[in-house]
Amino acid sequence: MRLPLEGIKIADFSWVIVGPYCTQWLAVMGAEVIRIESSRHLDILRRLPPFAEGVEGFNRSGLYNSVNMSKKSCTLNLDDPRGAELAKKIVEISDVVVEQYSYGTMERWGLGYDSLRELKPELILVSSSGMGRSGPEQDFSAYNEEFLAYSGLALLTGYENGPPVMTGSVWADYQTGLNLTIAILTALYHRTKTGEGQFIDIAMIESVMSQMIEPIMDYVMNGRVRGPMGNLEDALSPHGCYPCSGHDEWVAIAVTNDNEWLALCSAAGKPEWAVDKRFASLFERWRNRSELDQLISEWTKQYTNQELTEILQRAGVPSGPKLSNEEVVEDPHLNSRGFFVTPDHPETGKLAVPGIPWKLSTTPAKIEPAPLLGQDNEYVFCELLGMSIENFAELVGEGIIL
Amino acid sequence: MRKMNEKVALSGLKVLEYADSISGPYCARLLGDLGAEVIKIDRPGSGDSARQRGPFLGDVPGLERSGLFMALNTNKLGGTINIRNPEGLVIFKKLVEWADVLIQNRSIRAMEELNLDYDRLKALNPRLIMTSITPFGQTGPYKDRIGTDLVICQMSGMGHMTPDRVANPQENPPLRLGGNQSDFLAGTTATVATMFAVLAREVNGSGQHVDVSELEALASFMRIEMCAYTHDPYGFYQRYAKRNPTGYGAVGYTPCKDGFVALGCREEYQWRAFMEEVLGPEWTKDKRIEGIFPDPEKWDMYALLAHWDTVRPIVEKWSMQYTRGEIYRIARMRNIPLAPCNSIPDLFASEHLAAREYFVEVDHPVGRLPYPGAPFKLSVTPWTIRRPAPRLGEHTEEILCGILGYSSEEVARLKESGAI
Repeated sequence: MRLPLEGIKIADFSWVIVGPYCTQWLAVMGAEVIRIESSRHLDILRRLPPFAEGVEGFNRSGLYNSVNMSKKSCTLNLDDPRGAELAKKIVEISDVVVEQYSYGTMERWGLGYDSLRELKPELILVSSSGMGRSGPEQDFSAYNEEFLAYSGLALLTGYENGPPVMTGSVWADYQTGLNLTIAILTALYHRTKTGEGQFIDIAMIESVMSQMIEPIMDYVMNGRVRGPMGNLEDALSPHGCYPCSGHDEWVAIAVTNDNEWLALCSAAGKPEWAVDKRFASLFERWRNRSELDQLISEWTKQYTNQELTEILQRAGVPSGPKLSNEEVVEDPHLNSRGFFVTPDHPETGKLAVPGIPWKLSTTPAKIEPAPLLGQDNEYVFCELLGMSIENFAELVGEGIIL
Repeated sequence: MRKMNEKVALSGLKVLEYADSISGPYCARLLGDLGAEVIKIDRPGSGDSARQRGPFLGDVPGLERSGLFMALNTNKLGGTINIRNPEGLVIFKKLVEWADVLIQNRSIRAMEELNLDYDRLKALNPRLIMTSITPFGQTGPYKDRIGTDLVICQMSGMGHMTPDRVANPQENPPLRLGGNQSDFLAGTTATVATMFAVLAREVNGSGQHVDVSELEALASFMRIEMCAYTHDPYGFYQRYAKRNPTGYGAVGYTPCKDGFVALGCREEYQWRAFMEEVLGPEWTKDKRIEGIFPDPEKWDMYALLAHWDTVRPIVEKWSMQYTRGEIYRIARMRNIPLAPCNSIPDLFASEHLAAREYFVEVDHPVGRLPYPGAPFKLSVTPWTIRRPAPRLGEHTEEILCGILGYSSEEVARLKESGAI
């Protein structure tokens, strides 16, 4: 079986996480993704930890190497007109262009959509930014937590009535990267049917907001302004993380109906809870949730989170342990599904990185290591663009290819 | 709502949804919003469980009053078909033959009990793409476990890092993101995977089974955290650590006069501009930051991380003088990553979002309301809402007669028998 994107070329001017997380999926599904990088303005991911063996180096970043698998890397000085000209040539042989620079940068290099569309009408040009490519605040650029703040998700995350908290992950980046992938695949589908290219404008704030249906609809319908709710889920109890016997050990329990509640009572060996008037219905449990949480905590404290998960899952109660980064990497389930992959990176070797969050039965992914900075310069400029070795050496010498 | 005749990208793609709650319906909705023709199978009687979940219009519960359901099910035809009835099952199988894509999020056991596993459905329709979304995926030791948004957040490593640091890990529980984000994320991830399968079918001519695990969808977002453990000998994150390695530079939320703002200086030029605002142009010589940086002229992220507890009150003192709006103005003027923590009403008041026409008004029998809009803008084949969420059983006849060719007598008989 052929991979779905075999024969598709992507000129990837993006960096950090949003664009690379998206183009990594295009690459593992068969596209030839060429990252256009610069050793003068290094991708910030190449400069940030975690590094392999804790040793800093721009080919050693775990994050970079886990969002750039199966791609190629060339390096260009786009501030020089000859560099920008070469970038245009890469665009000419590409099907999709992905860019993520701050406001007006692509235009400054002569690589704005209008000029590229003239160059190649069937091109799909993707412009990824925090605020989008229109509107009065389009010039504002920032990072994950600013866009979580702007989109409203920050004020929905934290302890009940508490301040916003920093969360795990780089949510806004990854989530936008996924939506970007949907947008590109949709545009490619349309192009296979009609031959038409198009312009894709994705804003991180809007991508994040599109998944905030519950709080937005609550405001629209009832004028209610939700705040952070901790682990509470409206009208459900017990619903939360409960302490276990070990240090910093927690179990998540999420009872969603009466059957699960009764199953919990019997699994915990507490038939008295099942007949307690305070907990007789969803509504009563919600109203008396502090007392209920107290009772459940006293029970959970006697066991480890793995023991509790066993007991509760056997009884049919949604539950699971809080896992640290170490425990997730060692988790038997994720490992049995081959979630982590170990591409043989030329500089860092076979270090495990998270793999692909889906499994396709007949077209599994092609996993290759992330590229070293500029490792494919000769291939891109000489082989793909037909540059002579002499000319190539000259441009390297002059710092155009750098 | 947009015009009916606008060009849509996925026109002609036929999607059958046999799913409940958030993940599956959200996936089918994303495909529908891009132009696919979606048929949703609602359970006869009470329908999709999202119909019984709030928010409800005016806080009055009702099967046609859930805002969650309404926004998750635009652009779908909805029919009530009882799959546990033998004749209902026949109808379902006919719809499987009609469909290009089946989106389902039932448990593995439930699908097997109905003999609706992929191999059997493939025999009915070899070009079928079947997307199965479950908490833990179709294989592996946890495949039959029950999970919810909260459970998945905790098992993915997200909870361990949310908040990124706590005073007392025995007292302060790990959290999740607001608004059931991992359920939605499973739907978004399933849409990506389904689109790959659709394009693969264009190339190879055959369908396939798409296995999406909600746990993996979220674990895939924990790349820094997991690579820290696999790459760095000191990469085990403690919840009470002074500062975990995910903290890059001056990053976090700080209070101001009327709420909070986010701060995210990661580059030297940003830090310099910010410090000039906070401490003035002579900031490198300022007593308040004495001893923090070995050389204040030089950007030193690690020194800043190590002394964040000293720097933080200085930042807070500054931010407390201003409103969110004032700080955002400074941020835009000086190119500093600082942004207001908005609440939902702020989004509706945002001139920027209004200029981009983010929210879309949708007519539903209970009223015309603005919904969250497109996650991205496609210039030629825009995202569109062409019809509101179906009322329970609204299109049962249309689906049976219009699409499957049943006669109205047959439909009447199927109603009698309880198949529909």
